Amino acid sequence: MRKLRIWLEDRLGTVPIFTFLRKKDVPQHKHSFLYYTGSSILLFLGIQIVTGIMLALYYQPTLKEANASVARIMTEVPLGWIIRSIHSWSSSFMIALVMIHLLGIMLTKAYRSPREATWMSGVFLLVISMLFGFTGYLLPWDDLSLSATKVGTDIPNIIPVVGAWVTKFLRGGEDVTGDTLTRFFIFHVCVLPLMIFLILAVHIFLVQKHGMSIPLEAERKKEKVKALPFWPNFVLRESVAWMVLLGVILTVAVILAPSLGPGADLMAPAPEGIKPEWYFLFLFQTLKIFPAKVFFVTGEALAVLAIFLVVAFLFFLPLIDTRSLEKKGKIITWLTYAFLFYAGAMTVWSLL
Amino acid sequence: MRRSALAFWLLLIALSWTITPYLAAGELQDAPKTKAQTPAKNSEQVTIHPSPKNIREKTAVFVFVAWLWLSIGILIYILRLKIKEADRMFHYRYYPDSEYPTEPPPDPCIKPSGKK
Repeated sequence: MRKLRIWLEDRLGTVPIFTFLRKKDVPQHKHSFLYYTGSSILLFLGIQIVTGIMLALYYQPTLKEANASVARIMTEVPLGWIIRSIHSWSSSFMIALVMIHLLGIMLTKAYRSPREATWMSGVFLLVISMLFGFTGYLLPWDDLSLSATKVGTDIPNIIPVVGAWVTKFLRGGEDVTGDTLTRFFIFHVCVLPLMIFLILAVHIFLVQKHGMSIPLEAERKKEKVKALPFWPNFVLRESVAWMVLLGVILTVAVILAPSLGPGADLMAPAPEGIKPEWYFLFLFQTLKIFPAKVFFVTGEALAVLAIFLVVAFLFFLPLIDTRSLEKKGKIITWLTYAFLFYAGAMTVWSLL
Repeated sequence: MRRSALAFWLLLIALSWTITPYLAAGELQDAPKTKAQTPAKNSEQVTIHPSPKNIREKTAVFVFVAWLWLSIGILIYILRLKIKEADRMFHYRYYPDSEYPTEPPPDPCIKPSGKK
């Protein structure tokens, strides 16, 4: 065993990595929980990969078989319903954690120099995670998922010049059909995983390069912050968090397993009460509250423009808030709270 | 450098130009003209609610959840012991100083003065 380890270390050159991890430290302060949210996202990503592969063994991404194959997974494949439920809940947990992680970093202003690129890659990861949710929502091919996808893929249509092309590209034609299903499946299992791995690698590299951020007050006063060795002290603490999260996800998945609606009928009218996944609800409600026309522009176009501006603001935040560490950045803090309040209110409104 | 950048962008545009019609083509699986082409198996148009089908399965599910939390509880207990041990080793500088990044934390086994 020892010989094998030495052989692997020689061939792979892993010694510097282990030396780095052994000397790596994790600051300990009142915002330390943010570090745990970051690494817990990896747990859910791992669960998504494993359960996703297991589901792909039985899922068939065709118009005739998509809904029926999911039905088979749930009723005939042993433990299939639990695997599907874990996959579904794990995606929600993962996106929730990515949001909490980003909000925490926004509030602690950890995106400031030199961590601008780390923040930007994080926003990318949030967008990709949400795209995973969007593409995965269609795959069971039931009435609700079909209608939600119709609404979702119609949004880019509002964008001038390229919008119509983007919609056609996403749908694989003018309407949502079997081609859309095939495309969404390919995005879900090939394109998006490749993108997430690439950007995640960059993100983790940047976190290691610039180190973990410490609270603004400590950085301002040049105080020495307490720190724990990454290995084994932090990893052991992290393991406790992972155990609890694993228990929570399995319990929720067993007790609240998602149902499967009847197979989608492309000729049928949209059913009542179409709703996307919870993390899209505030965007969905935003699109609904805009009036049909504001001066010469359609309300939908304005809503989409507003959403794009918010995403652009989030992405370029480190380039907008370039102030030194002496500034607390109260405006950004209040903007974050205002956004949280707005998103919460819109989500609740959408659910009513 | 500028020439290579220009060449890169020209190549990218040429590639995009070539591949765009392929990406936007679609419509290979035509939208059905009638209701006949809708899913085969789940054609009874029923919503499937995944839940234990009988008392045996229901019991198995609850036993599984109970067993899961029991195992997690035991694992967390062991991990807590491990954490205490690791913190003490860190506090007493068991490993060479070069391996420690900062000052050690307070000993987890010694309560702060004034508290019992």
